[in-house]
Amino acid sequence: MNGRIYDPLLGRMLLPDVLIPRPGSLQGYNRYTYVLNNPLSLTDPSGWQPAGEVSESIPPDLEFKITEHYRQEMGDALIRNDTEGYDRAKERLRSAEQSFRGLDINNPEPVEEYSEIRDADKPMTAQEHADFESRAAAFKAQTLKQPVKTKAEEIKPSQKDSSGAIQEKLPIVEFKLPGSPSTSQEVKDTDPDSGFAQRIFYRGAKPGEEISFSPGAKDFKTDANSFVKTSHGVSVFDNPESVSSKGRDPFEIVNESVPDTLKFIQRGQDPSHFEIVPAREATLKPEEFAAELEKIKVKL
Amino acid sequence: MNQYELRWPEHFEDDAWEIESKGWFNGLEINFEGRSLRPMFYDPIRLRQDIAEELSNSGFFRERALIVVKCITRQAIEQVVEELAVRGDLSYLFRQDFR
Repeated sequence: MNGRIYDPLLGRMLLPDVLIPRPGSLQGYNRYTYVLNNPLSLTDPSGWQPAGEVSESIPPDLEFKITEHYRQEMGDALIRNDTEGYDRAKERLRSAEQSFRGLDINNPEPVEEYSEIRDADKPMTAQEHADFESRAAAFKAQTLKQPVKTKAEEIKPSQKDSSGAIQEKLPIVEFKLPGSPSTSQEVKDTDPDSGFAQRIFYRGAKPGEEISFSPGAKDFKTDANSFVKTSHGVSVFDNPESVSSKGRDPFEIVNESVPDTLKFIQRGQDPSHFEIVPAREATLKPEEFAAELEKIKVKL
Repeated sequence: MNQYELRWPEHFEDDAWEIESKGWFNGLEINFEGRSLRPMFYDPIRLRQDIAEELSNSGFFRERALIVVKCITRQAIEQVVEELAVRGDLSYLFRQDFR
């Protein structure tokens, strides 16, 4: 499925459907089923509704909701210090973004369908159904060259409400360097010796120019007492390509040189984009923030 | 009268790629009917992140002259300002005393 992820182990979608494909059918109101539980007759390459069926009410913020879910997964993984989970969620986010770029959600069309010839009068057992879904998932994974399988346990029970729907949770993604004090629940749960503390960041500089961490007006905000807020800071990226693709030379930050007064947080639509901000509220005036940033060194 | 003037900061083009990644921007000055205003432009993702953080830190979020666009690019911002002007909403925006 291009849009949602189908888990063959559960036999269910991992994201609730935001569309009601057939309002007249009770199955349409089960937001986790696949093609109205009728895989012999219908396919669902988009992940949102059976192929060929066009809902009259496709939400305009569909892409936002889906990508937001993966950003939430990224945030949860960071909080768990689950580097692999973070990378998996990040990859899914990119796949979803690519899917939305290639899929006109107002005119969903089958990409390449998996089919088997069976006796339509013979009901399918649960095991046969599961086997069929597995083969279909493997086929789509191969033809679409994107991940289809997902571990069911990646959606934590705490993320679901009593109806089973995944709760909305805003992604606050941040982590501290070794030795830095904690300021929020997210950070308190973070082991500073984990792989995230060793994550590598890159800052860009125009070719031929020296690297600079000097904050400008576009970088930070101040509170009512003129302290720099912890929510905005100097941009860095977690991979060199994000920098070089914009015509800048990427410089790797020496983590040990980042003072304890600063921390990294992920911000913005690009999951690779992070910002260096004050570690604690109401601690740094703009000139102090600039002085702390100046202590950061890069590998030359 | 929907004539307005946009004043972009110097070297905006140099920083445009970073500003788009950040998802917020308040450096554009709009001059309209003898007054000037610097709206706060946000993309939806960054806005939600900042609202969450502000609610956590201070219990509320406020931003004057807030305009949300799909992404923080010069083209997107110019389009929305033009749209506001055509609709007459620029007059409404400037009637607020944000300064």
